[in-house]
Amino acid sequence: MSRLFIIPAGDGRDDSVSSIVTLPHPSTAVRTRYLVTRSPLAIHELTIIDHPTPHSTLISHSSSLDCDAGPTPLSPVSETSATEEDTGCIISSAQVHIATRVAPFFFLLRVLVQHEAQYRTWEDIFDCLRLETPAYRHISALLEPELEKIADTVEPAPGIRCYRLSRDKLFRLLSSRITRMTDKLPEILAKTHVTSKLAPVRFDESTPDEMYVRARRQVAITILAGYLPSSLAKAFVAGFESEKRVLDDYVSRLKEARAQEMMRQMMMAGAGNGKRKFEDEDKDEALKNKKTGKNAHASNGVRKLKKADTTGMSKLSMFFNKK
Amino acid sequence: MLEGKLEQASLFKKVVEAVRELVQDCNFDCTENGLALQAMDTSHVSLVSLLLTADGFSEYRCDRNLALGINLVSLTKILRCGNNEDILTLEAGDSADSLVVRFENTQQDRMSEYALKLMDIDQEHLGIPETEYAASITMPSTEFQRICRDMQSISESITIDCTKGGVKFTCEGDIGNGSVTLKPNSSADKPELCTKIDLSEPVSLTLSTKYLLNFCKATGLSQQVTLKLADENPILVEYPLSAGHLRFYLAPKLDE
Repeated sequence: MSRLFIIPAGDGRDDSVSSIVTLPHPSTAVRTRYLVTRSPLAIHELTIIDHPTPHSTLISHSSSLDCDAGPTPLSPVSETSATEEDTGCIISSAQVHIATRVAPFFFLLRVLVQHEAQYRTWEDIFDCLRLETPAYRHISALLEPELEKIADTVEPAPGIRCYRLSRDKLFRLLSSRITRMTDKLPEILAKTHVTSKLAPVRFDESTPDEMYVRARRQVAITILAGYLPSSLAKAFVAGFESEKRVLDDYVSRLKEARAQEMMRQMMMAGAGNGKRKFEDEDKDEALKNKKTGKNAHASNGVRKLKKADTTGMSKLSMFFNKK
Repeated sequence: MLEGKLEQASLFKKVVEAVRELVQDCNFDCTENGLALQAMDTSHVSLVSLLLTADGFSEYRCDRNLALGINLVSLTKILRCGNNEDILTLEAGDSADSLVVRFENTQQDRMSEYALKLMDIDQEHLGIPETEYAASITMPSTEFQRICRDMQSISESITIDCTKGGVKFTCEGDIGNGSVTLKPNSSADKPELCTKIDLSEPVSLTLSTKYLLNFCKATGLSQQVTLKLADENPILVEYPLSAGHLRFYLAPKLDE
């Protein structure tokens, strides 16, 4: 089955072969699939974006299906004609695999932290990795140069280098990443975790810029901690505890103010008389259904389930026989 | 003719509230042994099976097998007209086009009666084979509900790993991941808080969080819930009732 991948520009050029490898997740050790591109050599994590209902995807190489060209005639776009003319193909799924680069040093941390007190050679470290899964051989060339960034080194004999995890080096490296991520936080993350959380209670008020920066930093810290083994993640997050407390205090004050404001508005609207009961909820539901044209004879739960992702789930008739 | 009397309306109310979260319309099959229901959700990946045996009713009679086609949202509307402590009577004639629901308060000085129009529902029944489950976990139903609730904000699916040492619920989503591990424990004075694991071999299933959370609407029916797992087979989530059971089956998520 063909799959559609979106990979960062420049990674996995035409002539190189990319592969999918299964490696333990740097934080949880859960076996996870990664995309390894050869030229340049890089490792990517995969996020699958899917459509809740069955869809297929048409990939066109030519510009014949350009939207500006007006409506496309239906007949020429069949699977066979597309293949014959080599103008594109149809994939029987709407799944898009988004590949995002992961810094290779994360994959070294679990092994390094297990022997944190000892200096060990790269061969020793790699043997430990290979014991977990031989698949590490695909990214060994990526891992060795990364050791210098996160480990102290000694040279017991000429030509032999030994490495030991340096939390100082690692945390300094992560700190520089926090700064970078804070500046370039994707819009959708900023919206859910920063803007909506810190929205001022009234229009005439504003949230201090400092709090926005703190909130953005917290998002970056949480994301990075998700790639660290638990003991390292705890130590890493603890380093920002006081910073987080200031933000938490501010957010809880905002929440309280928001609740008070809502109470005030409800009192003014006369809706706060505490008489709302099931009947009202049903009425609201029915009204909402009427507006949106939904089936009023189905419960909320049934409607929510219609949106549930059931990919990979077989129908029960596969397991149980019809009577 | 069906006539069934329940000393407390709350049981039937809770059962219907739980089932209506999964199915819209279904047949209540009435036989001399009691009231049963089997229905699947619209995607046919989950199934609910209810049994209220005749002993659970203070009075019960059913002369001829009946299938009462009912819209559960409508039935809920009628059941909300009665109080939880009221005595509830369900009544339907052999060829009736409605189900009569009667409430009587405990002082027996207020009686109310409602009739719900019945529908013709064409429903297929599945035969559920006896499955040898690799693991059976009995735990507080509120704990199971809490785990599903907490994990719904993180991921669309929950993986349940059951080993000799305990049962581990894990989820992995875009924002991060989470896990809850429960070890077997027993307490003689509070049996409802016990966690019991019967295991023949380690098993792991990945399941839809939304569906599991829907099953948890039955939490109020029983203090304990039993999860039964077998590799690549539907999970069975069972809420025992004093006379009968409410069972949910859900197909696992399998790698393609």
